[in-house]
Amino acid sequence: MAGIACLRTRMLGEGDHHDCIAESLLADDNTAYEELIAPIESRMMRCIWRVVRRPELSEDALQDALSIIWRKLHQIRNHPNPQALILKICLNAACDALRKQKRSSRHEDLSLFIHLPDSSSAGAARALETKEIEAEVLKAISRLPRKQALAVLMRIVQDEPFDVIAQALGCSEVTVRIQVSKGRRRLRQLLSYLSTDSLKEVSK
Amino acid sequence: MNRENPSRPEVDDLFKRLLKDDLPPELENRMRTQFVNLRRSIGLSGRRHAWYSGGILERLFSILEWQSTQVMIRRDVLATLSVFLIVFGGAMHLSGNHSALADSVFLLKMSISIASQVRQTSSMECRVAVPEGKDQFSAYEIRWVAPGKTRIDFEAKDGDRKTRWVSGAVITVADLAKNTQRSARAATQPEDSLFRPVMCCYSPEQLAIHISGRWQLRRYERQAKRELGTFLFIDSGNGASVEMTVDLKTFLPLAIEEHLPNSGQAGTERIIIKQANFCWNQPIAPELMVPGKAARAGALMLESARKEDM
Repeated sequence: MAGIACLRTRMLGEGDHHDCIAESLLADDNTAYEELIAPIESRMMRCIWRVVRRPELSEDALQDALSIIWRKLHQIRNHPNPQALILKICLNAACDALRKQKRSSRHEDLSLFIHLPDSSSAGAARALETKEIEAEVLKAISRLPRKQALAVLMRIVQDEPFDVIAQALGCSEVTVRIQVSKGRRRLRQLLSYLSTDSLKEVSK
Repeated sequence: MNRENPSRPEVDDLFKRLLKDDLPPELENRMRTQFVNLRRSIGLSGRRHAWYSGGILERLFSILEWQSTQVMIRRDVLATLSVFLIVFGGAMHLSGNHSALADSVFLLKMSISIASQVRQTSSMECRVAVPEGKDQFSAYEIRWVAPGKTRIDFEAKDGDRKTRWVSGAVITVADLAKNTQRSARAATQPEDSLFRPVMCCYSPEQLAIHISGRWQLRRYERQAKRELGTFLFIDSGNGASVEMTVDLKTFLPLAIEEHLPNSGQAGTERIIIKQANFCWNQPIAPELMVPGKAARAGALMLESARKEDM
């Protein structure tokens, strides 16, 4: 990767610095795409979908994320963990979409916020309950502070290791652990009114 | 519903179960087209980098793909146009013609530089003469010290003398002939018409406000030998022309001459409204700046100094 090679060259000495900038400018962006984005295209789509859970919102969130990635491509290439940063950008866009959704649906009925299953189908009541809980969980995520939400989603939903999350968020591993712990605690508080039975039912 | 907190594994499990990876295939297809668009954008951007950085001659006569409009433009037409513009720019520069915009930016920059230097001074002494008929004039001596004390000594053409101190919001006026002195808050005291002609020189701040705001700089001439600059302003309030001589080493005004509007045009005589001479950053005796007995002593001191000058 030209960007990372450039970063290494920069450490060698001031004389190489100008060559390095020129090299960075000359770097083939197509290669960057193939190396950084193409392998995780699927993960990017899925991580947005898992948080947003609505087709049109997911598309918007991906569009936002891709425009940010395109603008910051050079910055991403120089990042110690570019792919983690890309996933963080995607999750950030997903959180934004959730917040937008929360604002727009503040005065709407919950039944409009979630997609109701066909009542005639088998297990409709259970599906409805699952959808309700899903909506409550998404609402709870959108109420977390930005960094906490990102840390929780990267850890719990994406199963990323703490060091990778720390690199993506630009903070220490300890900070990430604290953020995840606080986020979990807050989520427990926010979802405390849900019955254990219904949670167990969903978890089955 | 039971009010029980879900435990940690339950929360994690709940999240994994609810936010499961079940991206619908049709949505996945739609999202993939966004990646294709991104790849195309990056490709075009990469091509632009290559053009900027090298192979210019090779690509100069090829066809340029215009990204935003998809219009095809011949690169040799662009190259010819660029060369023409460079030659035209060079010719304009060598002809010595300055653009009106460049001139006005330069003049604006000069006004701001003078105003900013004036604001940074620690003291100001200014003598202002206001003509009052043939060979007769009223004289003002203004002294200002930081952070904001002003003393103005006025001497009318008939010899009447008044002194005014301005310190913060309090104005004190002493009439030396009648031996009276009164103080009042600036907000409650009507402006004395005697001191109105020297409003612009009350303090460096007032002068700076006039230079950068009320007076509009029209012309600048440099006297290279003496390192002085002459600035011609037009007072937007009364239309008078103000000629200011500035020391180009310090960018502080040395003299100001204000002329009646339209006087001096078509061979007519220039009629001076007022003349002011400045002295900057010189020590001023503190007793001069305090109203009261010390002020009287200060006035006597000034008078003796004036006699010595004569």
